[in-house]
Amino acid sequence: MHRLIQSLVARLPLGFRVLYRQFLLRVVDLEALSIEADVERFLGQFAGVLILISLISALGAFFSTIAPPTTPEGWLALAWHMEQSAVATMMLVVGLLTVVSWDSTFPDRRDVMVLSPLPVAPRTILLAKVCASGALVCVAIAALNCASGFAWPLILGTHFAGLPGFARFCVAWWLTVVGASAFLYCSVLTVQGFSALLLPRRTFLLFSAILQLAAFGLFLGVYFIEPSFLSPAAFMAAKGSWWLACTPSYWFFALFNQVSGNLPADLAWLAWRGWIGLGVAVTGAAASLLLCYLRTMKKTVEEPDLVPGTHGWACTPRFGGSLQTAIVLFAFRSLVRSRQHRVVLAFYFSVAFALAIALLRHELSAPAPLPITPEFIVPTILMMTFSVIGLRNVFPLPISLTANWVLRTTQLCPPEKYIAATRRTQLIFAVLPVWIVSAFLSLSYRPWHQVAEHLVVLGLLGFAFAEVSLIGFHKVPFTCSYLPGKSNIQLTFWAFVFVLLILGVSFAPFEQSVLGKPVQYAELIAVLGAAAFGLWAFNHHRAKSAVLYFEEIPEEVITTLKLAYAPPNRNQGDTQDA
Amino acid sequence: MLELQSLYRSFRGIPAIADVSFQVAPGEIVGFLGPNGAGKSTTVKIVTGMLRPNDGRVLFEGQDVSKDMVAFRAAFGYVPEEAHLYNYLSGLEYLQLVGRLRGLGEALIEVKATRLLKLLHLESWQYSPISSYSKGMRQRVLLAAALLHDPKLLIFDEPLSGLDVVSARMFKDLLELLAAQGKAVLYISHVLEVVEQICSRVIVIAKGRILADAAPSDLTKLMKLPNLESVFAQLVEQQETRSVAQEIVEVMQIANG
Amino acid sequence: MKWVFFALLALTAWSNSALRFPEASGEVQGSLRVAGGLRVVVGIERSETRGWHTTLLRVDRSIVPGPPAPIAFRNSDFRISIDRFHLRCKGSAGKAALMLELRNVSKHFSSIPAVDDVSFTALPGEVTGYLGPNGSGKSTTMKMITGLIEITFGKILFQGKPIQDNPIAYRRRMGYVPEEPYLYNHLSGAEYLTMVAQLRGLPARESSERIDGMLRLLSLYDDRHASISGYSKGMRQKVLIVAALMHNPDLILLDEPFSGLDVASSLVLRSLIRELAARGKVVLFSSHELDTVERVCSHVVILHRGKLVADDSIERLRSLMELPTLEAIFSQLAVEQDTDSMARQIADLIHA
Repeated sequence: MHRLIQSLVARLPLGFRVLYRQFLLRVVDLEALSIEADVERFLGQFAGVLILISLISALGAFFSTIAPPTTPEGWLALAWHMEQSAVATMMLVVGLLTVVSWDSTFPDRRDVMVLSPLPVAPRTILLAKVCASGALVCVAIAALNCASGFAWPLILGTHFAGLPGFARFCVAWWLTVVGASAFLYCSVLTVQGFSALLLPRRTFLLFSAILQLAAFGLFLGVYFIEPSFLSPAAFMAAKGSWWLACTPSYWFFALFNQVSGNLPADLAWLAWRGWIGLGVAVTGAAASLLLCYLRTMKKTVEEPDLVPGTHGWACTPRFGGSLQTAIVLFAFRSLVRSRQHRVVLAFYFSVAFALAIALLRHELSAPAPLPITPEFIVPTILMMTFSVIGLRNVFPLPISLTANWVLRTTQLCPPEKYIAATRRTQLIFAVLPVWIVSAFLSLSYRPWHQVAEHLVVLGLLGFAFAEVSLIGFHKVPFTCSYLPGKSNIQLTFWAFVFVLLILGVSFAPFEQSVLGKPVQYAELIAVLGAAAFGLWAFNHHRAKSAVLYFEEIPEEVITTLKLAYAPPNRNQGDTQDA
Repeated sequence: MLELQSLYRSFRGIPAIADVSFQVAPGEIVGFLGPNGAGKSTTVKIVTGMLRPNDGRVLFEGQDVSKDMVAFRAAFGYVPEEAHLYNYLSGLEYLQLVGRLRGLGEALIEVKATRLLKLLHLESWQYSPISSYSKGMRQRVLLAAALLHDPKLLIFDEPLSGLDVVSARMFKDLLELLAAQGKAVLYISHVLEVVEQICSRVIVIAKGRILADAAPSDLTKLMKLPNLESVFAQLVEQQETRSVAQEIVEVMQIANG
Repeated sequence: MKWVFFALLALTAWSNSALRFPEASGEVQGSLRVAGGLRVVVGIERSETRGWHTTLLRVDRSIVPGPPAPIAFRNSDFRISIDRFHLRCKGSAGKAALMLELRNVSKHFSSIPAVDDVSFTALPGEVTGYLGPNGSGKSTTMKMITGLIEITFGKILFQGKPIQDNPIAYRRRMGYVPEEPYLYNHLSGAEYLTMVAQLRGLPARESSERIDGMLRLLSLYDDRHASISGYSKGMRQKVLIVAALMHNPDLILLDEPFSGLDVASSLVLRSLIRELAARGKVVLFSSHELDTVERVCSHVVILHRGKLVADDSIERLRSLMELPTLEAIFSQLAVEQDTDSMARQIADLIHA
C-alpha cells in the first residue's frame, strides 16, 4: 500500500512535488504566529489538539451509553445537540484556519519574483498552492472527526435505525463535515479572489486586512452566540428568525439530517440552502482562482512597485510633544499595517467585541429603559481588561526589528519621556475606544447620572489597568527583540483573566449598590483615584532611573562545576631542574 | 546566442521601450547601462520571460523563446537586482530547491551546492535561515543559484552590490573565465568603472531607446571624452551634479530665524 | 639664544594654504587660513642649518573658534629655511576641536578581538575614507563610533570629549547612514522622515521644509507617500541620506552609501560629500568601491583583521608604496586570498 502510494506520488511532475512541499510549509502565515519555520512541529501540535478534542467528544458518546436518555425527545435532543455542535465546531476550526492562512492560496509578489525566472509553469504553481491549502484543511477535518465521526454515528445511528443507520449516519456526518468546511473555505476564497480582481491593489490590501479581522471576529462571535435548538418545536418557533436563515451551520445541520433521513419536512428548505450554498461556494472559488492566476500573476509582474499618485494625510494629529506624537503615530501605523500584530490583537479584541455584541443584543431585545445591573457592569469591565491586556501583549512583538537603530541613534530625550509616550499609546488605543463603545452601549440605560457615574468608574479603572500593565515595561513598543522562551504570557494571561473574572463579578454588585448614593460613591471614586494616581506615581518614579532597552538578552545561567585545583607540590629542591 | 529584435512594450499606452535590438554572442560580456526609468528593467524582464513584449521577439540560439519558455528558462541563469529569496529557508535549502526545480539529480545538487557555498565562504552559514544573512551573503547565494545548472546565458543585474573588495575581484575573475568557456553574459550595472574594465561591449539605453552599442574604447575615442562616465553623462544628458549637491547642503542648513 | 615660538600653522582644510617661507635673514613671515577651533601641534622635522640653531621646533597654539582669519607672525632673530615638513594636524584635549578621534579602541566579542587597538583621527574639512575587507572590523568600528555597540577598551573622542560623557549631545550632532538600509517597511517615505524629525525634536515647519527640499533634489518627492516596502535599493538609500542630514549634523558617518544608487544619484552623492566636507563637517565614509574612494577622499584609513594597517593621505600612500592606484595598495595591504584560483575552482565546479 505504501509502495503503491509512493509510486503514484512519483508519477506526479517533479516541479509540482517540490513546490507542494514548499507551499505546505508556508500555508500557515508564519509571521502572524511568529513561528520560526518549525511549521511541521506546529502543525503536529495543532493536529494533536484537534484529535484530543475528537477523543473527548467520543468519550462523551460512550458515557452516554452508560446513562442514556430515557425518552425519544431526549434522544432527539441529544442527537441534535451533538450534530449542531459538530457542525459549529468544524466551521469554527476551518474558519480560524482560513484566518491564519489568509492569502496563502494566492500568489504573492515574492513567489512571482522568485519562481518566474525558473522553469516552472504557472499552472504548476497554482495546483501546488491549492493542494497545499487543501491538505491543511483535510488534516483538520480528519483530526477533528477521527474519533467522534465514528463514535457518535455508532451511538445515534444504531439507536435510530440499527446497523444500516450507523452506516447512513457515518456517511451523513462525514459528508456534512466536509461540505461545511468546503463551503466556508471556498466562500472565503471567492470573496478574496473577486475583490483582488475588481479592486485596485492598494484598496484591496486595505480591504483584505479589514476582512481578515472581521472574519476572525465573525467566526468567534457566531460560534459563541448562536443558540442551539434541541427540538423540532424550538426550530419551528425560531423559524421566522433571521438566525436560521442566515447562519450556514444550521443549513448544514439540516443537510446532515436530510442525508441521515431524520429531517422534518418543514425544514427541507434549510437543507437545500446548504446544497446550493456549497455549489455556489465551490464554483465561485474555482472561478476566482483561475481568473486570479490568469490575470493577477501578470499584473503583479507588470505593476510598478510604487503606485503613482498615492497621497498622504495633509496634516497629522499631534499627541503632545514631538516625541509623543512620533511614538503614538508609529504605534498606530504598526498596529494597522502589520499582519502579525493585527492577528494577535484580533484575538483579544474579538473577545471584547463578542462581549459588546452580546450586550448590544441584550439591549436591543429587552424593552428600554434598563437599569444599571451587574449584567451591564461586568461586561464593560471585562472589555476594558481584555483590550488593555491585548494591547499590552502586542507591544513586545517587534516589527522590522533591525530598523530600531534609528531609535537608538536619535535617543535625545530621557527614557521617561519614551515611557510616557507608551502610556499615552496604551490610553489612546486601548482604554479610550472601550470607553467610547461603553458610553455608546449605555444609551438605553437609565437613570443618566448613574450611567455617568459608572462611566467615570470605568475610566478610572481603565487608567489603573493601563498603569498596571506598564509596570516594568521600559521599552518602546514594537522595537525590542522577542524571546519566545521568556514569555509565560499565556499562563499569566489566563490566570489574570480568571482572577479578574472573580474580582469583577464580586465588584459589580458592590458598585451597583454604590451608584446613586453620593457619599459612598465619592468614597469609591476617591479610593480608585488614589490607586490610579499611586500607580502612576510609582511608574513615573521608576521611569526616571530606567534605561531603555532594545534587545532581550537571555539570562545568563552560571553553573559552577566545582572542580578543585590542586597546585603541584613545591619543594625547594624541585625548582632546580636537571 | 541571444538576440533581441525590435522589442516594443508599453504600459497603459505609454511606451516604456521602443525598437530595442541588440545581440549577445557566446564568449562576450556585454554591459547594459542606462539611467533610472530608461527601460532597462523592462527589457530585462522581457528577456527573462516575466513580461511579454507588445511587439518584437527574443531569439535564443535562433529560436523564438515565446514558443518554449520553459526550455529557455532552463538554459539561463539570472541574478536579479533586488534580492528576492525565501527568507525562511537556509542557504543550502534554497539551493536545493532551485536545483530540484531545474531537474538536477539529488547527488549532483548536494555536491555542487555544498562546494559552491564553501568556495563562496558561506560554509559556516549554510544551515542558517537566509533572514539572518547580510546583504553580501544573500548576493552570493543568488549567484550560486544562478550558476548551479551551468547555464549558457548569464544575466547579472548589479551583481557586485553588497560584495566586498575580495569577493568583487573574484567575481570579476570568474566572469572572465566563464566568458572564456563560451558563455554569453549580459551585465547590467551602474558602476561604470567596473563596466569599463570587464565588458567587451557596452549598450546604453535612455528613454526607452538604444543610444549606443559599441566597445568602451571605441565610444571614448569616438566622442573624444576621457572615460565611460563622461560618455554616459553626455549621452543621457545628465544635469550638473555639483550644483545639486550645493543646493542640498543649503536646504539642510535652512533655519528659520 | 632666545627661543622664539613661531606660530606656524598649516591646515589642510581647504588645501589652500598660502605659506611662504622666504629665506630672508631676520624675518620669517607667512599667513595662513585657519579653521576656527583647531589646536594643532606641528612638528618640523629637520631644517637646513647654516650654522643656526634650528633643530626641532614644536609649536603649539590654540586658536579661538571663529571665522577663518589670517595669522601673521614674524621672527626677526632667526633665519630659517625649511626644506621639508610634514603637516599633520593632531588634535588633543583642548577647547572646541571639531574632530573625531579614536584612541586605542578595541572590541572583543567573547575574548576574540574584532577590533584591536585602532587609533586614528578624522578632521573636519576633509573626507576620510575607511576601508577594509569583510571581517576586518570595519562595521564594528562604525557602530562603536555611533554608539550602537559598547567599546571594550579605548576611547572615542569627539571635540575632545569622550562620547560617553554626554551621549545625548553627541547624538544631536551625529548623522549616520548604516550599511544595510534597515527601514520601517510599513511606513511611507514621508512618514518615516517626519518620524525621525519628531524623534530628534526638530521644529515641525523647519523640518518639513528641509525634508521636502532634499527629497525634491534627490528626485524622491513624487514617491514620498508610497510605502517603503515598494522602494528600490537606491530609493531607500536616499531616504537614509535625508534622515541622516536633516538635522544639519557636524559629524557624518556613511557606511557604504553608494550601494544601489544609480549613476546620477551616486554622482550627486559624491559632490554632496565633497560639499559637506568643504563646509567644515567631519565626514567618515566607508565603501567597497575603491575608485569612488580614490576620487572623493583625501585621507584613508585601512583596516585588516581588526588592526590598522594604513592611515594616511592617498598621495602619500601612493608614493610610499610605489603603487599607482588605491586598488593595488589595498590588495597589497589587506587582501590575502588568491582570487584568481578561487574563480577558477568555481568555474570548474559549475562545469562539472
